Amino acid sequence: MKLEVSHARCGYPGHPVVEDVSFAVISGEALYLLGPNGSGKTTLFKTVLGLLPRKRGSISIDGRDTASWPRRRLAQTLAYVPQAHTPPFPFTVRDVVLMARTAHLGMFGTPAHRDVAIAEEAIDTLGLTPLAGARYTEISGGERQLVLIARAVAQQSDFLVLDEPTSNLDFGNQVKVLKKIRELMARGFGLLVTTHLPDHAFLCASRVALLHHGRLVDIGNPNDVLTEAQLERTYGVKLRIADVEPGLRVCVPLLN
Amino acid sequence: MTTAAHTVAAARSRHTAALVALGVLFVVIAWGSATLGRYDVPLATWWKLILAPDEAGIPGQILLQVRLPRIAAGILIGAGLSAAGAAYQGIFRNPMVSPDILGGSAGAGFGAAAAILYGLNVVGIQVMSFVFGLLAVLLTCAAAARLKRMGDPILTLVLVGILVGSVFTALVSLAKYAADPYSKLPAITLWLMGSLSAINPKDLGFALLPMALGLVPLYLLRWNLNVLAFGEEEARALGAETGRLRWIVICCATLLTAASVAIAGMVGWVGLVIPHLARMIVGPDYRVLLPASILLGASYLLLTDDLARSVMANEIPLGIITALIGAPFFLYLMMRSQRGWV
Repeated sequence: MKLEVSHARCGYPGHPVVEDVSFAVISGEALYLLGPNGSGKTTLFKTVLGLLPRKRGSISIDGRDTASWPRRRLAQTLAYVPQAHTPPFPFTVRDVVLMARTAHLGMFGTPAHRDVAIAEEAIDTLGLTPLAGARYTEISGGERQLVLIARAVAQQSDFLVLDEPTSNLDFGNQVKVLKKIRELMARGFGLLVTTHLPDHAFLCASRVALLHHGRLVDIGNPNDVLTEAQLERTYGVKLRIADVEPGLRVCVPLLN
Repeated sequence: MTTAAHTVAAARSRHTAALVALGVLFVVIAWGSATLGRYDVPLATWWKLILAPDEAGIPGQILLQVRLPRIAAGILIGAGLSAAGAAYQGIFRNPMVSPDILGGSAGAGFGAAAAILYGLNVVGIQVMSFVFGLLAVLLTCAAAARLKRMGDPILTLVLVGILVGSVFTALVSLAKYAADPYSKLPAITLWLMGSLSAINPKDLGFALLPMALGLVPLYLLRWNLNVLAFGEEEARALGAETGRLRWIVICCATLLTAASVAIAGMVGWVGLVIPHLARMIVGPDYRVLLPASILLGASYLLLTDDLARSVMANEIPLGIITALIGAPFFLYLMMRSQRGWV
């Protein structure tokens, strides 16, 4: 399947944030979105998710425009993985994942046995079974992020939109999440991921889109897009890109 | 997978057990309340009442005309206010929210005060109270909808609700100030304190329809209420039509609040305390929390009303009892809860 954004203008009334952006995500690949704070990443993918109205251009799934889709149909196609946060009520991990099934229920529906089984399977996929009965408000930030990914898996959507899934996580948890991102690609999900770390794009991205001042600077293979020149220009810092070993590229900033 | 299935089943049976226990508690309290009273009704009269209502005599009439309507009203009001409070805490994502947050109770209070001021009869008071309760919330929602550009729709609603509520509270004061201090002022004051002492079968008929119209949709929406706890954007991304959902919940909760104020006056704290207590017992999942709140709320209101009619020779207004018990009890819950707003 193909999620296609073409010539999109996104933003708020009288204040466009993103201008004329086009890209596509295909099932089984991860498109990483990089750009400085305020470059429009969040606005862009909130528009893709249908949480913000688009100003111009089109967003389509396999050629069908999503503008008029009801929430349920959108949610059956696109799942959102927000940054881990704490809700005001102490739901269990199991309940949080089960909430993904809302996309497949009517307004007055409640999850059936089948939905519970799907949620349990998603919990198992993310290796969270020992935590299933724990309160979501009491587990660690890294675990919460994995729970939110499990929830997106249980939503059984074709595309996952992940908002900086590794921010606020310690090094070990970042690696866990990166591994899961690769697994999700292998399972055939199409992923749209934002990050601040070029290294993570080198590790997981099929393709990279670089956003600056609300416009697409470049899009393509990570090695072609994430060059020293382009990154220095976009972020305004000096940096070096080097291959630690073949196929393992890193980006290191220079402090003076 | 088998262990997972096992724990799922365990969690579910724990919920069922809690609901059954609350149900039994409710039945016991309801039965106790029905037998409690100055007029002792022997068990034989109950049988007669069921088998041949015409031959039950005066004790039967007392049960049918006074005690049973009062108990039924207590159940409806306790259940309605608690369900409204639980649902509001979900849509406003805040456990400190009570059903009067959008100004409904203040509006209903003003309607009643105005009706008493103009010398309307009981039906007039109830209708005015109900209508002004709805009107106040409608005003809040209309104003909030016009303020859409302010951003967070929930915060806007709460702020406007506080404003509308305080306007109607001021209008209540105005009505009191204008009222005849020897006849109407005490009537308004007493009415605002809340009481079930004057409930008759007709009042019950008045409240039954709005209560049912409020409770049934809320119960049907119990799963979607869970999703709202994650906030507007996430709930929408999960497939919930948050806007429509919020309006339905507000309509239902307003019907429940306005109907209960209309027949019983201001009965405070129930809608805030009971959902908390229920959440401590069964957890935050609305599939269990909502029925648990309904059962607990009905039991709690019956108990407080039992106190209201038996502690002193004269009846104590119910609103005073619910506040006297509710506020300290809430403090106790806050101190006991080690995990924040459980």
